[in-house]
Amino acid sequence: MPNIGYVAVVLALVLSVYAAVVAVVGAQRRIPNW
Amino acid sequence: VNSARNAAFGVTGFLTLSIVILEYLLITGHYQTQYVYEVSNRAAPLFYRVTALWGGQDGSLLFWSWLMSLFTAMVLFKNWGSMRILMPYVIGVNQVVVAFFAGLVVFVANPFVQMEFFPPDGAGLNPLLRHWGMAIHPPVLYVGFVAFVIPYAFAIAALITKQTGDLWIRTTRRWSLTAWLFLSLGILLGGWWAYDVLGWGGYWGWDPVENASLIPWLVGTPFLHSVMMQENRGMLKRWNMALIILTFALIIEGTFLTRSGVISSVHTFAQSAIGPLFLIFMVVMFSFSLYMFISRWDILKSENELDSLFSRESFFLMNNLVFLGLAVVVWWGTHFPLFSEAIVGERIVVGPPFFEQSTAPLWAAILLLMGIAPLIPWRRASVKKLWGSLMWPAIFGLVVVALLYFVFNIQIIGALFGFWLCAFTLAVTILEYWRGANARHRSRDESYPVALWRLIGRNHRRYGGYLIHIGVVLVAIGVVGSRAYQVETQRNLAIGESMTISSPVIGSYELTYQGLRDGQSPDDRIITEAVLAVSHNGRPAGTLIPNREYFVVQQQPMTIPDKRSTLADDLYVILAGWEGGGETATFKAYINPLVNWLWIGGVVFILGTIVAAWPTEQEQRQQATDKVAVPASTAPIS
Repeated sequence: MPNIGYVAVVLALVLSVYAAVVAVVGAQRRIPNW
Repeated sequence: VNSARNAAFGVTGFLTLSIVILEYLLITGHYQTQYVYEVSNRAAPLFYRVTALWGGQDGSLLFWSWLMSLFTAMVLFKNWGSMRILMPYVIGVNQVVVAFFAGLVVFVANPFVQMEFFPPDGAGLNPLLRHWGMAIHPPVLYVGFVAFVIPYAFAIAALITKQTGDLWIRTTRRWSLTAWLFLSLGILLGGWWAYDVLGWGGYWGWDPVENASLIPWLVGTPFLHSVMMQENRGMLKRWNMALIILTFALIIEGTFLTRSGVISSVHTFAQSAIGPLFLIFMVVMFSFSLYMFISRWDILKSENELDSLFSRESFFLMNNLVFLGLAVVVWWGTHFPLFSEAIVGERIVVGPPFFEQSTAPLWAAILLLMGIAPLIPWRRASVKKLWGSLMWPAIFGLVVVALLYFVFNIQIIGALFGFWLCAFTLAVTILEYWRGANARHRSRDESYPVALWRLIGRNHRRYGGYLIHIGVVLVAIGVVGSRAYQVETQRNLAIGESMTISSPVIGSYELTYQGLRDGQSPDDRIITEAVLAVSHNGRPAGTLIPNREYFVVQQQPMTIPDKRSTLADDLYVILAGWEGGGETATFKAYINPLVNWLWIGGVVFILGTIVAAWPTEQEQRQQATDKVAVPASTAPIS
């Protein structure tokens, strides 16, 4: 049980890094001249 | 970008899962988990098992990350359609912050660490924290801190995308207000807890941890005021940007200070490895913000110039400067031990007298500005007209002061001046309500209560703001009364003996010691109560039962005061100790005049903020049409 909790936080960390990178990269690629 | 949004929702989901699991472990008492062992035990009631989630550092960091991800999800949910340009960067900034906190939980402060053995019971929560005020104070404060990340993220997004109009401000106004509301409430609850439990007769000790929550408030408050300038007149753009960046930086810095053990405090939570990490994060975030700020300096130019020194604009500016002055003073005092150690090699701690003396004139200036500013129109004011509307409140203030001086025997100049300011500002604010309601009463033939109700209903922001001002005045009355006229005495009494405590303003109390007795102990505590008969100016006024609680598991005593509260004063008594099984006992007694106005003012203040943040009917309609219109007219981005 505690391990699941820990793994959930690890996954959250990975996803948040992913979200930050993808959001910024995505925004810069798709819409030029902001 | 859509994928980033889904990932952000995923973050919220996973963090929610881990919070649920940690709560489950806490409630069922899984003491093999070290964190559960440290903050909880079998005897703790369910309520304190649940709140133990933020009873220690590891859990509170997890809680913090969860809140932040939750707020991000709420923003994404609400503003996805209408904020297409800003949104990707808002996600970016938010997720970087969430990632930092989640990273701390994963690598440094993991609450799920297992011990080698399974202990039969936990060590239990720190007794000081077993008070319902303390159980809700941290999450309230966290919500305040964390919610400021939203306006901050929007501000940075606005800088990156060069959308420096008032879009980011209008979008996040409610977030800023909510964050500010919770921050204020958290500070008030902290003060109330200190007064109710700590037993030193006061509510604010200028402790570094208290200051760490006050400093962001002192920068966030002018932010809330100066954004109005940007919305109404397109001015102060740089200023607003700087304020929100500074607010957020100070929140992180305050957390760093209190968590790292750099500055010792009566309630520093823990000294651990997370200090340096916080410092690095703070420097990186702040440098990035500063870089963006400077690189967009030119497009943050003001659209208008200040028309006149005598205008609402310039008064807002003064209010901002005074607040920042306060923030600087408090910040300097809080960090002074660090500077002195670095420069002369000796830690010099500045105490409450420094803070009180150096901030009192600034607080007074704020009260005065609060009284004048609402009466001044935008752009330009005529001195003559202004004087006409200020004269009566000023005279009213003088009448109140004369009454206090001659009838109530109040003769300290500082206190009289403080009360004059309070009376003046209160009169101005109430007159504002009266003028508005009276105009409606005349033009629309509404009865006064209806007119007042509709007046507030039509402009929540303005009249909610005024309500906040009234709350501040009431708080000020409480502070001036209790600071200027607090009386304190200590005596050792045998059974049957009496002590007297008298105040020039309130009169005198006589306390007669009647003996010690054992109190009812709900769980793992031994409670010893002292019974005191009280009489006020010769008339019987009930009994007071201050007590001493001894926490068996933690082997820690706590001194719980008892109070006789009225609107005029609090008689506040502490059982300091006893000898011979209670034949004699030592008591400390305080008279705190007007202190209850502080809490009443706090309630008014909170109500005012809720009114100000509540959407008016017009805004609600506007939002509804926004939601329908936007997805139809624009293509979704991916």
